[in-house]
Amino acid sequence: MYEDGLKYFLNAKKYGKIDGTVSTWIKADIYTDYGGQSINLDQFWKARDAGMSIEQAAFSTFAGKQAKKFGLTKVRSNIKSNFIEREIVQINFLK
Amino acid sequence: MIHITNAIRFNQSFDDFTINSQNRYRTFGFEDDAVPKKILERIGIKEFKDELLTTEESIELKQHIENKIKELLSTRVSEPDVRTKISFLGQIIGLNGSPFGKNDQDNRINSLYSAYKICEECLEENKPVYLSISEH
Repeated sequence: MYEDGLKYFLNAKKYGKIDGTVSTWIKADIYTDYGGQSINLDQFWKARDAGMSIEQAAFSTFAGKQAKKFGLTKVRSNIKSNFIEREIVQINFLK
Repeated sequence: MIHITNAIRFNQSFDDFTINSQNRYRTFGFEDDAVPKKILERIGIKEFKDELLTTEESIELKQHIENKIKELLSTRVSEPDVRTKISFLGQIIGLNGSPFGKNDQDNRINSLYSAYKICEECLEENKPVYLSISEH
């Protein structure tokens, strides 16, 4: 489903040229059935704690692997709308 | 960009700073008016790194942010699809900063709340809030 969504937005002409995505991974009640947090958030911090950089950790997640598959090969994590915190990660995957 | 942190930020890389779960930060643009002008005028230079705020300035910053959050909360409508919760002045408030949320201001509230918690933590633990201004 995620792959279908990404494919749609990257190719739908009505949205113009898509430069990338905003990925937001949080701890929240909606993830109670998945351990209380987004699986991507869990994967991201496990990778960081294992010594990976922000960029490496971002691409080690499910969302990151999908992004890379569709040509989004850069990670932006240090603008004001980004978060790199234990309870929320909000980054951009960019072309 | 304005950085509010609970620890020295610029003696290390962003990767190193964020891996330490004790380190907290929040960044804003000047247009966000997140820091009282009086504090910026006191420091008075275009770019600076890890300036310690006095206790009075930390209190002033916290109050400034608190007022901004109150203002943004005053125009919210009820959000049935809560994504994240904040505990602000004794109230639990459910936010939804996703494109499906009913309140456009929820991401801004969440950002300000994050900075508010940094000020609160530093004041409670009697340690300085650090302020930095960088180009990026």
